[in-house]
Amino acid sequence: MDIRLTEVTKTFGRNRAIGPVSLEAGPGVLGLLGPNGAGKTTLLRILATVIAPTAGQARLLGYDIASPAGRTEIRRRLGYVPQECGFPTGFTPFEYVDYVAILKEWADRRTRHDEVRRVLGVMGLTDVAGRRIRRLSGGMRRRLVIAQALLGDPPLLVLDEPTVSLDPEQRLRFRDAVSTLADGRCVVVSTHQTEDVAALCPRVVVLHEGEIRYDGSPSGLAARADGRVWTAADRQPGAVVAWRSENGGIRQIGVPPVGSELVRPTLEDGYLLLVGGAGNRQEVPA
Amino acid sequence: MTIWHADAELLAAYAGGRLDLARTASVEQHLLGCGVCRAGVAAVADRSLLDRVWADTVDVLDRPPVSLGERVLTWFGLAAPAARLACNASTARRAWLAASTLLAVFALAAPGADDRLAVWLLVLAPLVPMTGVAIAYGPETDPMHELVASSSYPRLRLVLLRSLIVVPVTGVLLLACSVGVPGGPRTAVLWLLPGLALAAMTLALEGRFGALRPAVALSVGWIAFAVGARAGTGSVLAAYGPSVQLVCLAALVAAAAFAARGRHPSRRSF
Repeated sequence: MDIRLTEVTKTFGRNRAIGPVSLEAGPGVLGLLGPNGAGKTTLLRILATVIAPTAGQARLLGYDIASPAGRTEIRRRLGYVPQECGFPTGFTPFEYVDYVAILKEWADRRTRHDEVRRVLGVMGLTDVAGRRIRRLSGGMRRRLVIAQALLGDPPLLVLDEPTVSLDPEQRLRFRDAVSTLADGRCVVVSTHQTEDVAALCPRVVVLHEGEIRYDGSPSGLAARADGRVWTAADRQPGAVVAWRSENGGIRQIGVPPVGSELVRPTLEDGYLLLVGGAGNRQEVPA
Repeated sequence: MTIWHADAELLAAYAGGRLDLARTASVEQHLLGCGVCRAGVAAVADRSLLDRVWADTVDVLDRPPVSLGERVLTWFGLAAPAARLACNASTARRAWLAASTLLAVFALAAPGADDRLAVWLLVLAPLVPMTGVAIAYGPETDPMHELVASSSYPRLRLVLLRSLIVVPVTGVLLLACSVGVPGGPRTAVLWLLPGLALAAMTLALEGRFGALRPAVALSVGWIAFAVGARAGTGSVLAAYGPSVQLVCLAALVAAAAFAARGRHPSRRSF
């Protein structure tokens, strides 16, 4: 197993951010879904060895993150896209990725620069490699952060909200790139976008209030809402979540009244049913 | 536009490196303006050689410029990647800017300064190297901290590298500035040991508390001590007495040993 978390807990002061969480994952794409404050970023920061768990054991790629030597070995095999990442002033994309490559101990200049060119090419940034980062669009900057994570073809990729700031076309290209990258390696992607999870991940984990609420296939998550989704002209009392759909009716999830017009549930329906009103849908007031 | 073209034999000799210098230069001059002959060379040239030349060209074009600071550090024997880490972090630049601004203020104030300014120089001078260390690493000052923290580069080495330019240069400048304080050049070196001890203590505590909090606490403590010493004895030089220097030496050794040994397992981050 590439990831093996056993009863992992993280607290900040008196606040419990996650846990206890147990999770195992091997090669493939694992999608992490959850509302804001669910603990996704905390979990990913633990996986990226940025913060230590307060309790429990975490083994990544066979190494224990509690041991300094193990942590170094993990970091040598890790690609990480943080949720928020700033850029040093005055850097070009080439200089930025080169700087990260030095931090990843690529000592030989020629080999390092070849690798920098490769990852910039993978993310379609070759043409802007010499431009100042401050002159790049938000989408390009996000692709740049993803590019640095690909240095050295790491066997473990931890991506925290990688598709934020990407336009629909860029998101499609990103999904394509991740699908290719997932071959033989473990990729953990956290996102708010259920479409990304449906398109990318054979396995999805839903985190809510610091705990795992679902762990299985996207179709299994959608199936949880079987017989629980319906549309009507107005919000009805049994609805846990309700929002106006494209055709003007109110799509509702919860306990349908007798005789309701049931509809086939999607992954998003299953997710919203699980996390209740904490999802990101703009709700119709009760 | 030329209508003359080099024949295949000439192009093959050129591509094979069999022409003398004068004829090579002549063919190259022609190639610059003739697409037909360039295509002819491409057809007979060694592909691997062209790829190698192109890779070398791209490598030179892409190579990031080397700053003066990097050149100086590599001249002193530091490896080029380490010199890049020492010089190119924006935090290091910010540290440099902060320290330099402070120095400029002192440099302007110290010559012919009245006693009060000299007192402040002696109180604040030891804090300058520590400030450089404090802002060299951490989420508060480094926009790339998440990536830095998840990289395999040794953390202590990185902090030391980022402090490499700030601490020695600020040290030299502060020594130059403090010549104007009461007591002359002899007192100019007095703050050095407390300054290094405070920087080392910040480094040692960084793993447990981050860099800024220990730096703020140590600054407050040092200023209180120096001001208190002056209030008690009438001279700020009392804060630099032999016993204080000995304590600072011991603290410096202990903090350096602690920082080198590693950090407490319950640290807030790895």
